Amino acid sequence: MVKVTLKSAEGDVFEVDEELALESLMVKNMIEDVGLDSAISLPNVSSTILAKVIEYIKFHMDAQKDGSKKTSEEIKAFDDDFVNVGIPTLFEMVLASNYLNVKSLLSLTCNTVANMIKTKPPAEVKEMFTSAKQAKA
Amino acid sequence: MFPVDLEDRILALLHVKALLRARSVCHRWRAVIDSKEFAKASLEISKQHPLVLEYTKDRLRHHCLSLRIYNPFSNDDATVLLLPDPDLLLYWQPVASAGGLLCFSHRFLAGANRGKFAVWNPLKRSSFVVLPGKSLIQGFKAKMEVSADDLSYTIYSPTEKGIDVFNSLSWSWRRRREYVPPRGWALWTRSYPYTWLLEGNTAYLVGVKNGGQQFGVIGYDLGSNRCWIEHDWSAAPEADRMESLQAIVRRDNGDMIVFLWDRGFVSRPGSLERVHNFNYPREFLCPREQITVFTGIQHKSLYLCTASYSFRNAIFYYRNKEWIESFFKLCSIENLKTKLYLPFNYIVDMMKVSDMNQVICHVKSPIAEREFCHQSPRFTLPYIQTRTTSRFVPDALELGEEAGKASLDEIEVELLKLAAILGCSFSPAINLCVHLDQTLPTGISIWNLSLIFSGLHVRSSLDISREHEGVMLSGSISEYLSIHSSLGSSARPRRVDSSLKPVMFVSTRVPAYENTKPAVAGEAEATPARCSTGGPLAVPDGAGTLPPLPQVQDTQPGRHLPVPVKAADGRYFPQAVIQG
Repeated sequence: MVKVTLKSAEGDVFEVDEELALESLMVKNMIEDVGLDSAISLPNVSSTILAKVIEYIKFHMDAQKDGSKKTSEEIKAFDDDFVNVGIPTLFEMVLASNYLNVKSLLSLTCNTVANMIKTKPPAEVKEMFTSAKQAKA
Repeated sequence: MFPVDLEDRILALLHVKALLRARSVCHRWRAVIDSKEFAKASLEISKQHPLVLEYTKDRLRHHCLSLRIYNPFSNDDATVLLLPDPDLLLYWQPVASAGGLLCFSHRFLAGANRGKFAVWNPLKRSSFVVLPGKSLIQGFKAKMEVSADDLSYTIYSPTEKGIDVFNSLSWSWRRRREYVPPRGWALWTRSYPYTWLLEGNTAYLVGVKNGGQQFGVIGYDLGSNRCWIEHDWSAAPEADRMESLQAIVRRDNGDMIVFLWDRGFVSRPGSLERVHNFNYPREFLCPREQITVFTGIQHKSLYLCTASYSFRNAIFYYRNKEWIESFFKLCSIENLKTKLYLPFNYIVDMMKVSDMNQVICHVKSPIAEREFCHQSPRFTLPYIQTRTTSRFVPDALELGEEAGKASLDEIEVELLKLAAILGCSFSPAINLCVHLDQTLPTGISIWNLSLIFSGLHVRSSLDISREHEGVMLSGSISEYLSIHSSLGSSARPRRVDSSLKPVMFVSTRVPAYENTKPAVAGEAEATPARCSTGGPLAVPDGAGTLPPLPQVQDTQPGRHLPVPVKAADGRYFPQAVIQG
């Protein structure tokens, strides 16, 4: 199995299967451009977030494999648990999945944010997005 | 910095209620949500996340009792849709929906209204429009489409002669040439809405052979008027079971599925083959009239809706070769009545851009409480954003005579009622606030209505700025086309002594888009307005008669005509006497 080396913003190195890394269209393009020899640096993604993204992709790849015994309920439970994080982390995951171009994760996180907006009054929504902007600025 | 495109992406996922709230988060969001592009994007998204429109039917008389929409995949409460007049449901039955609009068909088989259609945007309660002309027969099986290019809508109604097409741009029905079915076949259009399929310019209808003994699926090209046999099923053992035909749906992988009452069939090119694992859920026992089958892209699944499923509502979807129950709620007593479902897609504001040459509004006048029709030759509906909430209860007090005795709470109810009738938004803070974002076409004088509360801060309600397009009052209440009443949110009224005479109507005519205050505004600013209510009133000088109806280009800047509102019985309604 070919391994791909990913380097997070902090400089931590993650070694993952090529198959897994290709789920991210951005990494896929990078691999096509520069090849597998050097580590792919992802300056916009922190180590914690990158670890989470890898965890997500890994779980879903396993679930899709033939012979997987995971039911749709289990997958849903994993997803629910996965996005059950603080708002700052969630926003960072939206950004990371957008940057890494992982479609399924992007729609999952965006849906989560949308569900949050639904139940919040406008003032809180504003607060939520302003703090997200400040955090990144 | 959170990227703008991601924000938009998230916004597009919101449902209507949340969007209306999200509009008040910041200016950018408001601009985004109000834009036409967003409406188009929402149209795309709503196709993937269909809502379900549920309507309850009376068991004996078969008229519709109530309408609700909800998302079967979330636990959000259903939104009750209230028609501008509840009586409308006695005559009109929802038959199709697209792009947030609901299409109704007249229920009666006989009479002048046979074959009539109507369109309604639930976001604007008063926008119930009866379409001109009629289809050849009543259209309980109509389909509706909304164009993503110009957001115009088209209604297709199959009849025995040909498919009738109504387009909102031409605003008329067009009948296609007669069907010429293949030899030996006849077209069968007397069935349920789901037993025909429309894809682009091609319709798939049920064809019968041997006098209805056997059936198949016939394709029909609306452009070239050509008919062909899509599936000849006359040799199949089930071919005599046309009466149990439930639906024809297309899955996103291209398979066409024909549902018979107790099983499903998937078509491969040229033939229909039985899908063994495609039986309905085991406990799924209910009369076939109460089953609806439609496709949705979400979860790549088929939906199957039913009511009275062991006294529960249930929606099933088909995934991984099994039926999964996704919606599960206990029935209330009302739910024991017959229920039917329609897939319901929504977008934010449809009517905003559809070009409507004629509008017939059934509006209950808040004063005379009578129904009237307004017809105008050329009229584009102004953009009025409406809250759809179940708080609009239109059976409270009468505004006008009762108003003198009303407490503030009752007035609040009145305002709710008024807001509901006028189709504008209302927040509990006695705050009618509508933004007229769109310039009305020339040739239309806008008459607006303002509500003034004595003893309350009303100044901002009379402020006329370009942003708010002015406060304009109606000369005759039945003449308004659009009501733009605004008691600014900054003027949150204090709770005041309920013995105060609370309501008056001031009618004045304000030049559209003129950034001047009418005289009445200045006076009200100078002294808190007091008003007298009840009975005919002393009318300010020079205003003893009703003004002429609004004339085109008859808007003289600064002109001010305080005019009492005349009721149907000839009495004047309470008119403010402003003491300067």
